[in-house]
Amino acid sequence: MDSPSTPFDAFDAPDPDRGGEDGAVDLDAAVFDPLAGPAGGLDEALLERYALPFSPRLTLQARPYQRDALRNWLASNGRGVVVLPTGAGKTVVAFMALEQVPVRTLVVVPTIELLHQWRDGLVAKAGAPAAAVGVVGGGERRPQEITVMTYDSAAMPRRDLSAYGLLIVDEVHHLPAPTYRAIARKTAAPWRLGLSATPERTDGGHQALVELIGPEVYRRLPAELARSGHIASYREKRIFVNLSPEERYRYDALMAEFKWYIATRRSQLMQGNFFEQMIRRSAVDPAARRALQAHHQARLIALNAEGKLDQVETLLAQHHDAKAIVFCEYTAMVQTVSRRLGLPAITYRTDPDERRQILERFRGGRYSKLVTGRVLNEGVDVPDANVAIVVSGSAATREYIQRLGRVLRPKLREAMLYELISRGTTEGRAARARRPAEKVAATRPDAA
Amino acid sequence: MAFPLKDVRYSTRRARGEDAAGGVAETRALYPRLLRDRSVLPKVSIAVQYFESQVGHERREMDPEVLVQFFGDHKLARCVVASLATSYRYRSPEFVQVCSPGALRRLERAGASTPKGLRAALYARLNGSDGTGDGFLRRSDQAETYGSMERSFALRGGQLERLLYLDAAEHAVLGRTGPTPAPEDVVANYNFGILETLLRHAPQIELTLTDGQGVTLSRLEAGAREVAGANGVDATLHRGGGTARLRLAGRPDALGSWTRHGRRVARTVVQLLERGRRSVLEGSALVVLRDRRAELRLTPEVLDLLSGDGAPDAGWDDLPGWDAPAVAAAVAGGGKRRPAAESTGGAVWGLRRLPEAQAWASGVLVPEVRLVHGAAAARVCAVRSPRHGVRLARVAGGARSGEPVVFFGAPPAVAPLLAAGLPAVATDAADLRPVLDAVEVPPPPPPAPPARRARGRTPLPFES
Repeated sequence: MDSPSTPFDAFDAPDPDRGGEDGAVDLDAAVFDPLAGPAGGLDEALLERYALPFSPRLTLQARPYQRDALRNWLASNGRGVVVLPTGAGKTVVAFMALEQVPVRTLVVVPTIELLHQWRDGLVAKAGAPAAAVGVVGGGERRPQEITVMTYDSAAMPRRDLSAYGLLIVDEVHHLPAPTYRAIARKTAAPWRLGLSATPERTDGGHQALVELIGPEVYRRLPAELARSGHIASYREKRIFVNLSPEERYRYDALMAEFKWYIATRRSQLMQGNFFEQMIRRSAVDPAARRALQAHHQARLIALNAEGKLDQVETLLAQHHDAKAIVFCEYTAMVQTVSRRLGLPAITYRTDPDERRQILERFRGGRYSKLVTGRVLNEGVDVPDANVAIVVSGSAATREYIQRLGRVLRPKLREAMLYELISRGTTEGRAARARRPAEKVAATRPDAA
Repeated sequence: MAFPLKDVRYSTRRARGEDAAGGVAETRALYPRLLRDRSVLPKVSIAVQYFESQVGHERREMDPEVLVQFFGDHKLARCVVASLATSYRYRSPEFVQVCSPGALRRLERAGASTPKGLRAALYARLNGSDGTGDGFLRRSDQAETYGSMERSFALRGGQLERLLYLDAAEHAVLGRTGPTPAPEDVVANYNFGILETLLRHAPQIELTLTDGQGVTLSRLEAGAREVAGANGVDATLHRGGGTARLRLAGRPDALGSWTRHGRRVARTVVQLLERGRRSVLEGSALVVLRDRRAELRLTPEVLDLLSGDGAPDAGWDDLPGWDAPAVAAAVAGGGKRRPAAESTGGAVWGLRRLPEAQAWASGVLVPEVRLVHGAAAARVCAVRSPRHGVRLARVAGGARSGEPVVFFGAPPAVAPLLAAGLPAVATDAADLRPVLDAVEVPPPPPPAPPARRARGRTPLPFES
């Protein structure tokens, strides 16, 4: 297999673009000359106060954009958010930050799986002694000079976070949630680094990141890094499928019922958020509840159209020798695809042992294809694939980028992302909404 | 048992209350929708019969909209169904129930005697031993692949597909955990569940305690502190006007939810009422309802529903070594899993501590532990004193449905239960181990004929 087995492996390989007999670069000399020493320009008193009893040393080679990201973060007084696509090595930027600012560090992550991944990475890649890396969360409670903690554990009202000088927040788009803001407010850490591929939130909460962590200091889009060869080059393709005559009839009937309700109640529904009003009214108005149900049923028909199954089979046959992940919006569709096409399935209902077994076998190459729902969107070390097929998804850009990220780890072959869309349904609008604007422009044939 | 707050039907109205300084303040009063009227019993009875008609059938055969349309209120229907869930459970069948002995032996030899193992065998076949297979099943190849696997495992034609996904939710079969529930018991469980749900969302609950019935205020205060302390709930007491006001404090978890700690707060209230319903005059609970707060008045009617109307009080005097902290310590130290009797072949019970209380028309029971082994489950309840034994004998004697309940306590405490023919283990000290040894783990399910195929709706008993 040409794909690396962990997110960090890509950076173990020598970088031929950067000279040196093994492609290695003297990081300090090349990047940090303007600064006096590894932590030059930073408050010496604070460095002293939070100092680590050891010196972390990066054991891998950073890429140019990672150095740029770190430079910008340091120039922003060690506070800010770095936005890089999945597979581009956001974690390595954090390890570099730890090397440059060697102080007691709190790393906050959203899932238990990432908790262990970060602990292993800090020991293996950031050069931290194993005994100095502690974990709080998932049943463990062992804070150390460098502590990795879940959001839920860090947000506990009685959790003391005052001892840390550097705060690193992975998947930082979760931090502005009302219950998690307390994490940033409880710690007095003078240096803060947020990492995300998709910081924007639909509720606008990402604007609070400036106060909680710092401004956005660096951003690279997947297309930019793909062009420079640092992540896999990829193509996106939309495939439209027709609803069957029966599906079309049911879809149109259900949407007509929904639209009739809107038409007759439009004056009441236009006060504030339209969909919120609908949901509020459905608690007391049976007609509103029926209309919402009709809309939901129609959406299910569009997302789970029978024609998509045929298309998935065709695509899998076309890429029979590639590693492929099929994404669906709903668990029911995951199960249908799994049963019809004999694909290993991972949903929130999958037994943990079976899930671990499937991911290990996919990673090891014993399985070449799997189907999943939203559960693998983020926070899970999903093995790399060459082909992603989005059978159905929401209108959220974040979800789209996360799914795209599953095929972006550096590899020799071009990665493919297919989106299947039911023709003549609201799904087309959702598919347009979820694509990042720059990417759409870049992939238009006329733009190319 | 508690329901999701979104399923609880209630209304709130503006009301005049008293602020902290004793002045007049505008508050909101909370009125939950309880099933008070006996006229609802025939409807609940039909719902029970509908569940009875589905026993032995797969989940996919049950139409969830039937009861919603029947009750005409989706919230009410969901809560009634949740109340029935203590008497009916869906369980996935096991291979031993649907396979012939020969096929089962072959599947076991191949490490494929569970749906998970069988799926792994299918995926391994599709991917090839060296990972060179296509990794998926073309629909044109499905019949040949399934047929080949069925022959190798000696399965009947078409059986493989069912076995591959036997653990899927839609194949789970409905079973009854005990005798058929009476409509009165379902209604009592519903009302109790509604109130417990609201108490779980309460940042603060106040109860007014009064002496009498041979109990002094000092004893009440000590007892209340003991019960709250055993449940890990903060309690403060203030005396005035011949009564004592007990204030129990809830607290939110990291995600702002009150229910995680709220289950302990609600349990404390129910246990206090179990000990001395007549010592509690009234009370109130400040309840968080999404974006607003409202006050639930704990009137005598509400307190009766929470304690079980008519059941005698358990009293505040426990036998030495059987007080609330001792029982809590016994449950905490009971070990995660203890081997059952040797005759069961080393099978073990799984332990779930502090399970939900359950209500019947005869009263409310607050178990300490729930034992689980596969599809089988039982509740274990400590008997703290002879008076407690009398109360539990009355409640359990009238409880005609749900999982079996096993009692344990000192010999004089369990005597009333044994006299009533109820399962009880006499033990000298508060210790779960003798109970775990005494309760036999049920044998594995016997082979059964394959589930019936989906067909037309089974007529309800009253329709035949």
